[in-house]
Amino acid sequence: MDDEEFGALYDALKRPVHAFAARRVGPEAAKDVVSETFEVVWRKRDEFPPDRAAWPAWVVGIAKNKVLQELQRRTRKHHDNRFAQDWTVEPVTDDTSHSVLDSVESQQIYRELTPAEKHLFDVAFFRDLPPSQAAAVLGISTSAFTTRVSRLRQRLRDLSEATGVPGPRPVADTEERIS
Amino acid sequence: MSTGGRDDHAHVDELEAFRREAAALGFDDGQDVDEARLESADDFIARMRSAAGDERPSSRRRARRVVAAVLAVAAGVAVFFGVAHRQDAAVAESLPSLDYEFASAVRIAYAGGEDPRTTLDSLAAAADADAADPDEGSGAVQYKQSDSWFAEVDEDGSSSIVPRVREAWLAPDGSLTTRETLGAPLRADGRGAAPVRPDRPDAVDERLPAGTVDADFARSLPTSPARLADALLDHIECESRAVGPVRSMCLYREVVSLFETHVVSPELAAATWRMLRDEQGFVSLGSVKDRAGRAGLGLSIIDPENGRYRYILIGDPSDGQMLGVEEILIKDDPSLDAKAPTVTAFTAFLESRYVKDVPAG
Repeated sequence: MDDEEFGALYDALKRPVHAFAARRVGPEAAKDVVSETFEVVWRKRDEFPPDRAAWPAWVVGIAKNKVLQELQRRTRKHHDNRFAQDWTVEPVTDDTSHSVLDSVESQQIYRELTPAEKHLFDVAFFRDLPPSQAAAVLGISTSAFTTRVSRLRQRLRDLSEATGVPGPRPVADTEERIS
Repeated sequence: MSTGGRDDHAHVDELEAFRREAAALGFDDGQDVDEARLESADDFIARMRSAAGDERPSSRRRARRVVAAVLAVAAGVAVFFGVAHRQDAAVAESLPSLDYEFASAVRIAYAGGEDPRTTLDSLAAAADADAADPDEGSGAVQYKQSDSWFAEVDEDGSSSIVPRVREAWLAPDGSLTTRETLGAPLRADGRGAAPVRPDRPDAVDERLPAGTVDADFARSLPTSPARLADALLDHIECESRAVGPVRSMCLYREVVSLFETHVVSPELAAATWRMLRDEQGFVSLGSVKDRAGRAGLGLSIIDPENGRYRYILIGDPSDGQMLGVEEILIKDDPSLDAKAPTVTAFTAFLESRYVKDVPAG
């Protein structure tokens, strides 16, 4: 991967990676996740597969690990109780859906999802990831991924109704296929 | 970015429908992230290449400019104001930033840092504890030893980073005797600051007359944080008293000057950290090993005028004293021959105590 290719990949994915991370660790820490993710990409740029379509999945996989490390760091530091942010700003939990980028209503819905649903949501909502690669990130087949996404759509509609958040008009599958 | 064309339409349609519905619920997929919040690709690539040492300017002309600028600073009393007066020095070689807990070297330009209150409280508490059994020496002369750096040009035009070890004796009458010598070059990790060597082959002495410095300044300062702030703002004739960036930078500069020049009692050190607790703009960078390899806690403030410099204080968690100060260029400055981020100055405080005599000249 040369500088031009790396720059194009960075420009295409830095904002989705930020949104992906912000949902879990907050927008400020998400900036670090973006940097750390692409620092790894930079170091491994010669190891990326020749098929460019596969690059976003690599980046998401790295970002997923960086988010996990950040959550572990917070947990570890919380136990140390040495520095200030642990004590005031953010409770240590895997449910830190406090991104300022998502609407308040959507954050409310996200908080209701189970950990597994959140993980599925984060990967599925990452734009630029086609189904086969999103499935690969999750370690499941494309068919299983699509089935779970279908269930997640229904789950979001149910939560939308339960929480009083105005939901989207369901998109008819047939209508989609025709268009 | 292409998404490839191998996925069956049914899978693609289902996923796209999910994304549209989630977006309609208010989930953000990154389209609305403010571009300015994230580094540009060019800056990111430049940073990575810089961190890897791919770009190491070393022209003879540039190195000479560095030496001239640093010597100009070192020659005068302005050295007491340290980092605040070295902004016009260009930089020929890059000095590695230290790795802070909340701001690694490669992210030093933009790491946000964390709430400083616990760090400041910790340093103040350490100073309080030290007050019970202070190790300030004995005598009436304030002795300070520090290690800074500058660039040295060899005959072949190459330059290297060399620390300057400085000793200063401040007598009760305000006369000041300084002795400077060259130390060993720093290691690749930017550490290696060390106490003065006994032989001191290149020592340069300077004696400034009585009344040059107010020797009682530190002892005259109140230890109430609010009153201390007032006294320091008076001393520097700060243009703003209102809590905000101008006031914070005034206090930063006064704190640096205080610790560079005077032996600071544990009580005053504790008051200093507590004073900064109520000021705006300071963040904690967390734990760090300083240039001399000592454990420290970093605090930082970014120059509010143009955001080009990050100023750092490193406190000693064992006794609340100041271990050092650093100045980092974090945005390119057209007037400087340097690429951000780069450390433009550091001083490590190595000794601070009272002694009985000023050495004979």
